[in-house]
Amino acid sequence: MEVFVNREHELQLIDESFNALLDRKRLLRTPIIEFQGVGGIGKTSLLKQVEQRCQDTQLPFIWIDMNQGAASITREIIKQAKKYVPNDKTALEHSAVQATRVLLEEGPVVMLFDSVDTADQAQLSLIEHLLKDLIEHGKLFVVLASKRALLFQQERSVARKLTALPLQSLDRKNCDLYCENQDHPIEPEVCNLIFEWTRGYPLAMNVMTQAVTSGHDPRTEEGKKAVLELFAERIITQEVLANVPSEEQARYRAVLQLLAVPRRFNLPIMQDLIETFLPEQKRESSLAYFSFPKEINDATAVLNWNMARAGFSIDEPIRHIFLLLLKNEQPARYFAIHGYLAQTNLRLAREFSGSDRVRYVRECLYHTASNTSSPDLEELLAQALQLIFQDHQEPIELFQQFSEEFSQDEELKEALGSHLEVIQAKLTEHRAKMNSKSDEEES
Amino acid sequence: MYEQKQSAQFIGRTKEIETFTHWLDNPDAPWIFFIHDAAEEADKKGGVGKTRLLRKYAEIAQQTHKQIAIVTVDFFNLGDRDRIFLAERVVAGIQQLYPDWLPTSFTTVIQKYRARESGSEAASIPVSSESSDIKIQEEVAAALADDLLDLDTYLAQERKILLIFFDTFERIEQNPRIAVLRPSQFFPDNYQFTNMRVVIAGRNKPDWTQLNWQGREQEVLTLALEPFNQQEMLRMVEVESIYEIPTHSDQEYALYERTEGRPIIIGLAIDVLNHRILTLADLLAVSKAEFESYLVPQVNQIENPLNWVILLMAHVYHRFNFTILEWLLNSVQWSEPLAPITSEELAKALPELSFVRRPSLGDDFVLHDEMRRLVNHYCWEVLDTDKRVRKDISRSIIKYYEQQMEEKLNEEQRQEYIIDALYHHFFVDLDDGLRFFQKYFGPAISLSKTAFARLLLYEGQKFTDNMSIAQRNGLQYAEAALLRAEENPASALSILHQLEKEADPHWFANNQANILTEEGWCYTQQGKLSAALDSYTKALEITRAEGHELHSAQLLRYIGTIFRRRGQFSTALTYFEQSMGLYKKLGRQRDYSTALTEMSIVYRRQGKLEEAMRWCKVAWRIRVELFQHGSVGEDLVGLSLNVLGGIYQDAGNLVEAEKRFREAFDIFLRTNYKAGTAIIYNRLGHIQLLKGDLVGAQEWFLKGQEASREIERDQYINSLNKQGRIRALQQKWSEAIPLFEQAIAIAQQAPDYYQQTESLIDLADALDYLQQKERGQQSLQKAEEISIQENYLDLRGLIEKTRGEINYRNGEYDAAFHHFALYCHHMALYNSSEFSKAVQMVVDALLEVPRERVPALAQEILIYWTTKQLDKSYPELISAFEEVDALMAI
Repeated sequence: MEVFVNREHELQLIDESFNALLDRKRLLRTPIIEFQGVGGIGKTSLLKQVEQRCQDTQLPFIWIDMNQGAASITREIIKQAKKYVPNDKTALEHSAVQATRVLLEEGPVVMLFDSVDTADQAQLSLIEHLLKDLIEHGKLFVVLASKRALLFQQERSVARKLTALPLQSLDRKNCDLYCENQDHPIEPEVCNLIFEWTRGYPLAMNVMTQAVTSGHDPRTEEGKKAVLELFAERIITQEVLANVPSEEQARYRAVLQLLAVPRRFNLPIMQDLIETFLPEQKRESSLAYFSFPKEINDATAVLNWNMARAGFSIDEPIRHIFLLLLKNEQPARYFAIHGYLAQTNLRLAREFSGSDRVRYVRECLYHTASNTSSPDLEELLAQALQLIFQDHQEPIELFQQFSEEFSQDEELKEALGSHLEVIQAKLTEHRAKMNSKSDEEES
Repeated sequence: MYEQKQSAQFIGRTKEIETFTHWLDNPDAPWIFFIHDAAEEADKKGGVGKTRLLRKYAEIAQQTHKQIAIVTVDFFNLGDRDRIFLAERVVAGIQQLYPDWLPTSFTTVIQKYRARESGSEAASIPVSSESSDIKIQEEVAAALADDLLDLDTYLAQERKILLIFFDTFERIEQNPRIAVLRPSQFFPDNYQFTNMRVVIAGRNKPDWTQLNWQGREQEVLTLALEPFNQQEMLRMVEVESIYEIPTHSDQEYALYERTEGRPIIIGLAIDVLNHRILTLADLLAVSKAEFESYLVPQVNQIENPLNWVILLMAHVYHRFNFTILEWLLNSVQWSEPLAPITSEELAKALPELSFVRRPSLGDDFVLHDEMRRLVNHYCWEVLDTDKRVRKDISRSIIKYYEQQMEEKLNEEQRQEYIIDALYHHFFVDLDDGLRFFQKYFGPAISLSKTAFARLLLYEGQKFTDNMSIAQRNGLQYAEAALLRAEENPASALSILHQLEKEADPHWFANNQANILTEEGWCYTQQGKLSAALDSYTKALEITRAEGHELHSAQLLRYIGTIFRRRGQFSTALTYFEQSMGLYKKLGRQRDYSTALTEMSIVYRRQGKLEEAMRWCKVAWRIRVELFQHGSVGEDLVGLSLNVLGGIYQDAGNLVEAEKRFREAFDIFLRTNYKAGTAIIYNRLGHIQLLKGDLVGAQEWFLKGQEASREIERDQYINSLNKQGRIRALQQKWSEAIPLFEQAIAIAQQAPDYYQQTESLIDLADALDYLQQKERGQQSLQKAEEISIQENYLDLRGLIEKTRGEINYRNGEYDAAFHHFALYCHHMALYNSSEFSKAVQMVVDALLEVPRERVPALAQEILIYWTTKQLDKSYPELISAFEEVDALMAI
């Protein structure tokens, strides 16, 4: 049995929609909902929750998986509609719009579209026009699931009615709840490992709990190896690289694994990383790297521009899986890449000032702390921190910005481990110095 | 004008539209309507909706006025910054209004110009080596003026309006003259077409202290364009976005506070919302201070490949189109070039973005100017920290333009490609950029292609922040040279003086001679001969010490010219001889012929007409041979004939003089050298004057005035002055005065101190005849101040002569002969020929006074002469007076 936990917010929205659908006096406020997120994040599970509610409330629904051609979508809609009005075949066969309209004349209808990200332009256009013709009806509830945000640029009326709900990994509490709700009880220690390894990514949690329940103990070397192999196969090969031709998979996997190490990267960092650690993937010029992020994202849909980090990054759940695999499969390489990135960010922190410096110092600290094999770890941490303390241009503002960002950077703090206290102490000490200096200046 | 995504309906701006319609309907309104950003801070300017408003204005004007022709010009576009191209657009607009009007002369000149550019002109048609922007614009302006005279008949009958929109004025606001055809005209040029209205849109309000706008407040109606108000912002969101924001809601206030009502930022916010990059709530959660820096990088999140096409557009500058995109794509091995989007889809998708503009013609796309700045700052700087990707793009673009330049291009296209490529040369490597810059800037200045040179400089100046002091100094020096070529010597000198104080010491040491030479040219333009001489002399010391013979030869010639202009002929000859010697050594035949001609002019002024004739003929012969070999233009031959004619004229051989002038005239007609023809008209007028045919002379000078109008200021002033002199000879003093005054005003504006002083003297004389004695004295006083300052010996002599004549007419003989003595003194120092004339004149005057006054007056002069110890050097005066005294002693 598939365990479903969390998603209270999303389910609440769905329930409210169902209530509105079933109550003639109420208006449907969110006629189109889109669940959005990486493969395995739980989009289809949510669609199934909607399906279940349709069955519970006996509302007609149409489920379309977009991994079909445009013509078959129309056929499928008509076919599924016929289940609910078997006597009016003529009108139904006219078109998908007509078929749905016939259903809507009888009452509320729910349409579920899964894997919309796999749709081609013609299919997307078909959905867009379908929704444009039907959505004004008021009793049509549409739920879409997609890895990428849907724009519906051709029909602004459709776009305006769409509510996008990005799905995140589960938090610790829900991860525990997930373990508790399994048919076979999972020991707390193993549950801890599940959260640590999967970071609440539902697909990875499913894979790992299945492995555990089938007898693999992740606390043992053998069990760990088996789980990691399953991660590689079920998450990386079958999910992330699902649309990549088999002969290209090794290349994409290697590149993604490398690019998963930095939390953020720009074009020069990407080029330098590839040319240092994957020289066989070296491109002829810097310009040739320009389209590389697009190329990777077109194939895998996991590499995006991350606004918060002001750079490209692999989607968080997938990045963690790659990091886990790399650290366990090739620890020396894992540390070498971190070491390299620590030095790169230290250099950049020296070259830039202001917000850019803050960003590079944080990344330098992260990679330095992650490179636990480095004998100079403490010294490098101190050097990076010193760059924040020594900035003469905007000392107070810069330090405050760094302190604030540092305090919110849970991943960095976790990576720092035992060094966190030292860093925090230095920050406190520096803050005190600045305050006293400021007091002196004021007096 | 570039098109941007158009809303289904135009939003807001009710007040601005009303202002425009009132302006257009009011025949007494100022003819220029100037829209500028209301914001004062530079980083708040741009993107306020000027272009969109201009388009709306054009639409309204077209709908409400049947008798209107509209021309739109966008200075964002390099091509639109070409004065000839602009003139063509205006002529096309006028033709639209008056289909029966045929600009025949203009069309002929333009066709010839275009043919010359494309190199298709038949070899038999002589092409002047002096071909330059200035000469071309002279020809075009003259032709257009001719055609517009024909249009007057139509204008009298109908009331039609030509409405011109100039967008992105900030691109040329520092030097608006690049868009003006006639040298005497300020921007905007009305091409002497009376029914013209102009709307200008720029980021900054007119600078009333700038030469272009000084004293023109009455000509301009200004409108400070504010950002959208909240209501307008809401309307834009309602029309264009997928969100609806309730009126008076917190969201409305928050969005307005963050966008500050700037349409470009509102548009970008809408793009981000429509692309579902952020929700409205997320967007409004960003603080006001960080809004712009947060919003702009969202461009990175716009779906692939639109996002990186935007980045490419921001860097591939000035133009971007699918040909360039394909070139870039082909320049590297992309795995999946543009899949899954096609060129057609991209062409459809790009204009959907609020900040993408495309011209009305052609397939180019560009980012809104302000957005380009924002993308470069907030996106590229983060994405490509060390610029390596952008440098690769630039290298590829340089190759693209290199390949394009191998194609057959007209001059305009060639210049545009050079400008485009220059930006990328600078981006890749500053030194390389400077080399590329110099390769084209130097020749552009030499050939007076000032508009092109200005564009080159403009590109270079974008990189000054990253340049070393020495590199910056190089550009500053270039700017000074350009300002001088644009006839703005005061601004050029200001830069040169700054360089002398602040330049990198090593750079300064290497360029000091050039700076001094440039200063000399500027001073010469201003008529400040002493300062020019000082600069040239210092430069010469350096070039001699460094062994730069060619530079030394040029400086010697410039110095010689100054001495010649001052009348210090023997000194001038020394310099010309040295200069000539070096040219000979270096095999510089053309320069050699110029020095010979200069010497010939000196001999002529000295009255050594045989020498003058010989030297001039040799120079003429060399020029003929050079022309036959295609090394120089025929204009130079014509100029030699002009000098030769002047020598014959001085020799009293008016027949031969006229023959030479007419030969020169034929050449100038052949080569369409309008300034040359103006010179000859005035020469022929002078011949008639000498023949005593005042009516005939007047006709020629009038022709000279017409031919030189807007083309050749020197000759224009000269023809006015000579017409004034004819009136003076006819004793029509009140008619002479305005002509002299006009000549003085133009000379002062130039400045041309010499001709200003000449006309001041003539004016004083005329005023005295009209009994306006005080004004006359003031005029002479002013003339004296200038001629002392500039050491014009001959003019100082003429001032004294005039004073003497005034006293003489009033019977104040003592004072008169005192001035005559000074007159002789100055002319003695000037040259023997003029001195002889002076002596003769004074003797004649002496013979006209009552007999009993003669001995005392003669004695006064002789005492002066002896006291000043002039009797030994210039005994001719003593001899003449003694002779008169002896003859009269009966």
